[in-house]
Amino acid sequence: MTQQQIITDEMKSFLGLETEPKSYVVEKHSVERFAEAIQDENQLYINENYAIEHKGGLITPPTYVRLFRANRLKRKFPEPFSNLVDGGSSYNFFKDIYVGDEISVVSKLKDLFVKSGSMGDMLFKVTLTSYTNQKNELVATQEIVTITYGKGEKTFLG
Amino acid sequence: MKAQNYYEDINVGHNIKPVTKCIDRKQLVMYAGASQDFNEFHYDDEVAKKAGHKGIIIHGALKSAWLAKLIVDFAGDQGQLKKFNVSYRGVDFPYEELKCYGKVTKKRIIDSNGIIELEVYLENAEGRITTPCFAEVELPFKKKIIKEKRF
Repeated sequence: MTQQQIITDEMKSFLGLETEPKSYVVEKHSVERFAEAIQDENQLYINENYAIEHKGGLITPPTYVRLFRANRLKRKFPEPFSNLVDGGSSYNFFKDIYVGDEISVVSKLKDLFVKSGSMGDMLFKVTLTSYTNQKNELVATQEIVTITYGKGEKTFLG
Repeated sequence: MKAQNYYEDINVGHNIKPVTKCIDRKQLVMYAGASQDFNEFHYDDEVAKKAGHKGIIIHGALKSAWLAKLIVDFAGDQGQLKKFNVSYRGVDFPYEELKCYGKVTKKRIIDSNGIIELEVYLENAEGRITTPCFAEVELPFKKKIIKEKRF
């Protein structure tokens, strides 16, 4: 199928639609658990005295932002395929995120395109998520590429 | 006190000390809980096998966290990770040796900031790169750059 046949006008109507902001307060124990789960003993994440001396307070590991999930849109994207792959992420980091910060998350669909490969037609969705702190400073962005393909039993790789 | 890398001392081709990972199911369950990613492909063999895998698979985001750690450790407390682009080209499995390594590919000064570009990879036991990554970090200078004043 061609790109035009797969990407419908309804799908295109989702481009640029922003989710309602969702807020999270960064908790010390959540950061500790995350650091332990990724086997990262960086003292800036877990040792308060050390972190205060070197950064002014405990900070989060870079990929911790993935915990700040955006709200869903009110409408459901008309997904044509049933298998999902996480294609990867591109992060930009502008400021450290501190324990105690309140992070507001907004997400929007930035791009839609089709590629054909060994698994047939694949729909690529590029979602841009922005993370802003309580001082209204943009602290990070993440572009996630999700790929869907095929029909039938639902599978997921990621 | 950790050793700090400085912009002046790091050149193109500099290798980051490799780290080998070999994790168990428990670590995946810990990551599922800590990241709130409860997809069963990461802890239920039956679900993973149904999807065509030989067993449970490692979260892509956990692999990216390992690669980010490698880069953040290289940057040190005074350095800063600025950009981090990771692609998932293949799945990886627990109880297998996975190697994380990388090297410096470019260095330049932008607006008086010392920017280092790196390529970092996660390679499986067969030597296949499953998770390539590009990153930019800012490293501190040994000597402070004083901007030239023009009158």
